Amino acid sequence: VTLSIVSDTFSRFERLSFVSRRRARVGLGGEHRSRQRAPSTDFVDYRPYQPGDDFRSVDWNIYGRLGSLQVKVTEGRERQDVVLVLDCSNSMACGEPDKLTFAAQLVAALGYVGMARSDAVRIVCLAEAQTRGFGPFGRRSRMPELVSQLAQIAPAGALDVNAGLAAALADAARQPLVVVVSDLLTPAGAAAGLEALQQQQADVVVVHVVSPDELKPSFSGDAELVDAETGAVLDIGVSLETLAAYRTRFAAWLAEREAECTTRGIRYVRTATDRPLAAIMLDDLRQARVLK
Amino acid sequence: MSFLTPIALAALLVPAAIYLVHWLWGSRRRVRVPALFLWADLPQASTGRARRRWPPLTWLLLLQLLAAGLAALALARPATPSDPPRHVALILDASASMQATDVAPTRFDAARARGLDRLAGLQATDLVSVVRAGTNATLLTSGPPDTARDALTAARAGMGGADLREALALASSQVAATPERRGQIVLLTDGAWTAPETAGPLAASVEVVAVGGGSDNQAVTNLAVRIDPSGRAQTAFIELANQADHAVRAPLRLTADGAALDERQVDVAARTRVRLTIPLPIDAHQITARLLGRDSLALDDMVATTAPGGPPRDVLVMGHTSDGLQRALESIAALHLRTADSAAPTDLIVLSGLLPTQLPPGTSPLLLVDPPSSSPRLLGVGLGNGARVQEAHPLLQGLDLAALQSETPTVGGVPGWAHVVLGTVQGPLIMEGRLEGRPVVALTFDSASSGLEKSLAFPLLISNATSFLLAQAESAGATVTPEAFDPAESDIAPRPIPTFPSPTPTTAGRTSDGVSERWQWLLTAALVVLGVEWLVFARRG
Repeated sequence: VTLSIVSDTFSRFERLSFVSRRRARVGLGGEHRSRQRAPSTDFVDYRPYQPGDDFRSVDWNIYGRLGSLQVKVTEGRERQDVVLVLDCSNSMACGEPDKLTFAAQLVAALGYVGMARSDAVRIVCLAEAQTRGFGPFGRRSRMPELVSQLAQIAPAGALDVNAGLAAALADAARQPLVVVVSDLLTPAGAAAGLEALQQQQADVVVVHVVSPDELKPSFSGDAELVDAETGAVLDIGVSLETLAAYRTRFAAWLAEREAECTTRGIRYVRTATDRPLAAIMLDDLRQARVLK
Repeated sequence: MSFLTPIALAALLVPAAIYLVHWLWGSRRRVRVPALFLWADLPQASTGRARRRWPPLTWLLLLQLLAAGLAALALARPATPSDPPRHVALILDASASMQATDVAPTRFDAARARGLDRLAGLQATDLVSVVRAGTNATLLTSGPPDTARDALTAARAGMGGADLREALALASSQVAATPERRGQIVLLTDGAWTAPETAGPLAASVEVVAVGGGSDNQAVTNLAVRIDPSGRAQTAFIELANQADHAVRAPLRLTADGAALDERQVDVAARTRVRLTIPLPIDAHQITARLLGRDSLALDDMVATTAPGGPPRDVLVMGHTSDGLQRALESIAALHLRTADSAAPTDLIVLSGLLPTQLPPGTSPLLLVDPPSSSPRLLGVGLGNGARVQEAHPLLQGLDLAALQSETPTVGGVPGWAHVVLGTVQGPLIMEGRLEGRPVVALTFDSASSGLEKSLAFPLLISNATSFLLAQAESAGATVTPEAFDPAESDIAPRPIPTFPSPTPTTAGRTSDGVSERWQWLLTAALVVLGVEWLVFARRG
């Protein structure tokens, strides 16, 4: 794919950070709150001194005033494990602009946000043959490498979304934040895959990419429809009635996918490929509490 | 509208075939969708495969049908009746009479204007040949009307007559070279010529465009000057002609060496000639006769000539001079004999009995009297023995040719530089020509031993020879006009226009039927439509 990285746009994403429902566990040095109490400058609370506490943590000012030993409790900052799952199936190569380019652009922006917060960003490309992952990228200086890796991806045949999602976290098992960027085009839905991710303690976010052509197809008359992934052909006479029925079915299908996510506590964001990237990052994902 | 290849109209089945293909297989559009399951089992219209139906008249289908139809029509070569391209041969009479001013500004200019008018009515695809009919017919140009216009504008009238027979033949050959064109010969003339005996078969009809028509012209048709037998005076013989249809009184002025000698009124009846005799002084040399009145043609109102009189000419005699030759030279009043010791230039050199390898310096004419036969300059070059007689030659005027022909030539052949004026089977007797650029007369016989010197013919021969050589020398120094005025052109009255032969059937039958093919336009339109169809297809994807 051909990525368009506009520095002015990306610079607006520098202050964003991921919102995770899991505590970061990758290690100290990040900017996310940790479950662990660790020596740091981030004061949390006082508690009475107990034998074994480090005398350096005793607040001697309070002892002088109150005569009791109180220990300062501080909180450590940890790095977040962020896994960006990109659907690279052939269906993603449809639409104008095509969904795969749009999704890769979005993944690059999300990766930039993670690296700006010193998160461990991994990218997983779901493809027909094998799932390909690269990363982690921990610093913003590795942004060119991430873009270079994304530029090499290409539509890779048919994809079983559920199987792909289930295998996406083979290398990351520390309660990661998983952002799935996909069109979710599978007849049975992606519930199984999403549940598999949740079973791996992942905090899952689904960014559902649709193209305007899918929402409102414009052709009519006799048509030979070709499935982008399977190559199956369907001869159809497309009338206004046909289009209306399609739109109804597609809207219902979209609602099903959203319900699949929300009922499982998965944050769901739907976006069209003609929407500006900045609007998605700064508005849509912030409203969905994916970014803050 | 007709079709030159009507069988090609069968190609009109191609658009029908295109429509049939659309009818049978429809115009299904191939659409790539992300997932087919979303389209399955939707209520849909009947497809082309399911039910035969007339295909919708889309832009693509209409453009395809239109392009195919245009191409099929182009194959049939449609043609519309039209005038075939023409080939007009313009013959421009360039005779001297065309300079008559009875039509302003001249007949020639009027004829040229008529020719240009003809060119204005021609198409750029027509062909025009312009033939100038002077003393010789000349093809000025053959090309599109613009080229012919330039040639007509640059054409000039001449001083002689018009060889119309040759001009017609030339124009006819030009027209015949383009049988696919409708030919026409247009003769632009004043009609002041006698019809040619036969113009031969012509490739196109001849249209005569006449200009002018007057005959008011008087001319000096002849001027000759002779020395009186006494040798002390000269006489001018003048002939005037009145070509007008009415009598005129013509004022005549005679000048000698720039000074007026005589001026008189001469009455000349209609279409007659009058001869005048006017005495001249012996020293008069350049004589001019001029008509002072105004007439239509000014070219023939003045004639100039050189009189034999004038100041004596220096003659240098070299070699052995016989008594007879000495007496003959001394008897000519216009000559002054000189000796060889003077360094002054001479007007004439007489070489008697010698012909040196190195000719005397200067450009003076040479009179060779009995030159040595061994001289290399007299070697014959295979031009025959010179057995001929030019009775009208000035060298033989007034001579008894029988007496001369009894002489024995001293050379046997004719040298390359000479022309024989009088000769016998044994060889030339009198020759003239140019040797190293100077006029030469050679008398190749021994007049002393034959006794010719004692006869009256010898001094007369010497007189003729010296006069001829001096006239040759003077004419060589005068301005040479490219073309002499033809006295016959003084009669500017038009003659009846003859009837020219009709074009021969063979040549007329070769002209085109006159149709213009239109297939190029149809083919171009088909290509344009195909281009538009491609654009529409590319934009629809």
